[in-house]
Amino acid sequence: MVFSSLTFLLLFFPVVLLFYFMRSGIKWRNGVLLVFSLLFYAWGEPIWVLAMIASTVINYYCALQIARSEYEYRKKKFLIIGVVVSVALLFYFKYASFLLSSVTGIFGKAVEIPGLKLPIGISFYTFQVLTYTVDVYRGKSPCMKSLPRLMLYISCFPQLIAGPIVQYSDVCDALNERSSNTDDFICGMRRFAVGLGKKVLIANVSALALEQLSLGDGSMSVLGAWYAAILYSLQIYFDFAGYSDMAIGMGRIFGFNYKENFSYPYISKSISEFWRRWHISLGSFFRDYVYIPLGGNRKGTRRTIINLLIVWSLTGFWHGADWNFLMWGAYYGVLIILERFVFSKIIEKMPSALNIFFTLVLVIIGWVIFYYTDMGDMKTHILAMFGMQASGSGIVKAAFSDAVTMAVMRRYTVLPLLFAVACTPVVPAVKARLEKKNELVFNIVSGVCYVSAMALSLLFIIGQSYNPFIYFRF
Amino acid sequence: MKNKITFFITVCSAAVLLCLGIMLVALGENEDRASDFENRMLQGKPELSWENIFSGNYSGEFENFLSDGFFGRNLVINTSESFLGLFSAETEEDTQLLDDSQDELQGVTDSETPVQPDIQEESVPGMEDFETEEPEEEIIFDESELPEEGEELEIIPATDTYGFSYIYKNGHLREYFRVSEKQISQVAHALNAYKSELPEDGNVFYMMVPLTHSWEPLPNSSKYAGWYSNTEGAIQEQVDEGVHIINIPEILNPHLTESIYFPIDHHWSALGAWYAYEELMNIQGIPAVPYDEYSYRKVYTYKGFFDVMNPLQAAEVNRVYNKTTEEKSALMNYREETYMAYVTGVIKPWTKIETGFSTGRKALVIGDSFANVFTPYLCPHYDEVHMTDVRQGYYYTADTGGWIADLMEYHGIDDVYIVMSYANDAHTDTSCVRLEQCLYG
Repeated sequence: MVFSSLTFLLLFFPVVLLFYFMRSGIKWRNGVLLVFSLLFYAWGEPIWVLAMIASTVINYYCALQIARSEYEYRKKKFLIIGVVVSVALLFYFKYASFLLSSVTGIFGKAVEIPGLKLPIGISFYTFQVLTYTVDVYRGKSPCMKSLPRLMLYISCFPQLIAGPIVQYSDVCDALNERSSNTDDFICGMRRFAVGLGKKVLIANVSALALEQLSLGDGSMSVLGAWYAAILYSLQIYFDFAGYSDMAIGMGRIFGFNYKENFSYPYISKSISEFWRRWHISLGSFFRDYVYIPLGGNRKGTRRTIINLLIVWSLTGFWHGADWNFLMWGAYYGVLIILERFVFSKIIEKMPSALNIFFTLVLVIIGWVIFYYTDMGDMKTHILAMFGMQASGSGIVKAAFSDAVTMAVMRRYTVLPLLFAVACTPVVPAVKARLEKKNELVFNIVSGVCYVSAMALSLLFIIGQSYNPFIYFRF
Repeated sequence: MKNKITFFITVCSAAVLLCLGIMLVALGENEDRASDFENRMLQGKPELSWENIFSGNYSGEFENFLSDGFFGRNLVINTSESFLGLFSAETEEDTQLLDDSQDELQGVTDSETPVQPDIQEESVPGMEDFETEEPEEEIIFDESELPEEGEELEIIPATDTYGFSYIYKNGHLREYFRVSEKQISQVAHALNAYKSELPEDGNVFYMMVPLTHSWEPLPNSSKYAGWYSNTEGAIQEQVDEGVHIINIPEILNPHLTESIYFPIDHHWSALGAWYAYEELMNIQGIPAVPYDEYSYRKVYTYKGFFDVMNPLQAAEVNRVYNKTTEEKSALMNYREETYMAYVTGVIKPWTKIETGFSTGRKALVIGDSFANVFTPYLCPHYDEVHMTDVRQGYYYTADTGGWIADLMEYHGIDDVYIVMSYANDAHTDTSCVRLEQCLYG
């Protein structure tokens, strides 16, 4: 089940709300959320819900042992067990087949593990369960003695399958005691409506336009390459940001205050800043649980560079089991290293507009690497972005434009431009200004806008058969 | 106060969504059914079984069930497309170009598996050994093989089987689907059965009409010169006198540059249907009413406009239940955007058109949605034109009051026209089995 489906919008979510607010006790509400969260996951993964439950139970037990033990070696032992089991599950489902086929491919015949399916959201809930076990080990958070409440933390449906990655320390108190008032309800629903609109009205439409550019058919023009890359940049941002908005909105309704996951990443002045604005929860996880434990930047330049490369390679690989994701992670690792150690002074002196422009160009190129699992197609696209194309006689000049790109641009005209504006803080700034001018009119207009966004999203969900969520493969 | 109002509105919105969801589940169709509008089967209520649930199929089918059964689905689809169309400045050439490039991506050039229409074929008793053979390898289009200017295109059949193909501009064929000898015999047998139920001077006409779609390259294509079919000739050899098999590709190929298909879906247009009608009248030695004799209204869509005819004479149209119960309908509906403008798009269970003309003859048109645009052209030649649809899920004796043979006798039918698109033609159950099954039961 996805948030942008009729099953969720017309049945699941209203029923959860009904049951959740039927009574006010924390036990009832936690119970309702837990049951419906498990149902939510089992709806799409009737078998693999057991993998999630197993991972949670094992880590629950390990954390209990860590909390009860007085000896450091015992604590460490159970920490290792918990981490290894969780990572092993993730590795098996997500990477085993890829690595096996890569290795056997070297010897001539690539072999895959037959029938192995990637359980939805395993990357997200694995990281969440890891934060729990590690936080208990570090003493950052108390051990959760109630297995159902821990299960709720891991499986809570708003953030289960596509984040944000909620660190245990951020919600451990709310699991035991929380409340939500009408303000939370209203703000949560509004945030949900905004997220749904981003996903259905912007991301899916960008995807539709991208589909019509016929990528991967062997040749591209310069304009086509950039237009496609920009559309994909818009699609992936609004897809993921929309989903995060919906998760945060629902969290607010149920009394959880999830942290922001996106903060207008496309206005970043540097790659480092981009990653402080994009998928913030993932960056925080890798910083707190990988980079800092490796030593961070406290062990000299050489070690810092190695740590950065490790972290960014893992970041890339987390996104997908293929070589292009590794490349993509390494790409950002190298850029961040260059920014930090080579270009930092230049970046400080350059005007902000130029910094934003160059950062955006680098990010868009990064999305091209992210998009293609076929290296040949990736090479074709990147060459075309720089006005080149490979031919039998070497590298030649690519055409500036082509008929298909022009036709798609005419079909969607200003829509990509409007979507691009929505990537910036212009809309909230205008909103704030209007609210100041006339609060009553603003409330009426904004109310109409939210309801219209929901209604239009519903129409588009029915009208579009194309409704994938990119990050589901993670 | 403001908060309370907002809260109340928000809660009401959630309640409305829930009511909508419950109504969709409660009132949804139990069975899968065909959609002419989308040329595919719409999902009915999925089977609730442990197997279906644990296989993961139930969740996907349930979502499709809600989506496919949404109230006013066609209107919703049109609205969402029209909304996007507000931002569009594309030309007709752009539309065609994008549709052609999508064809390439979606497998029209796939040499191993011919692209089949999306209508699922029902499993029907007697059709257990129905099979589609694998076609031979596609011949790649080579510009150097193009005929010289003025030179006639020589068609080069790839195999000696029966079926339907596209003609490349160099004369080679690209197979789309095959029709087996058994299927040809079944169709011929059915048509002979219809002829036997008519008066001696009665005629049966059978035609198979190509679909066009975003994934099909014709009528405007840079690669294909037309359609090719040899099935009609094979069926003609096995039918009795008075049964005529019309080769629609041969009729339409010379007119591919004209607007013979609707701009926004896969149905033939008024002009395309008229060319078929003209040929039918030629066969009978009856002068056809010229296309321009009719006046047409232009209906504009976001992909271009199409013509909807104004009949020469006002007709009285009724949908007939149990032979005698009549419910008023209309010949033309100018609010609709596609073939549904003709005979309001729905002809089941049985439609009777009292044409207002006096000729002493009555006709029956059996067909899928392609019959709608075609039928009004018959009106000047018959006192009454009856219509029905034999596809699975469309013909029930509980509604019609009897099998077709019985109704043909009851209404005094003189001629039968069978208009089937390629979704229901001689390689499908509709023509091979349902046609005769609905005649006698």
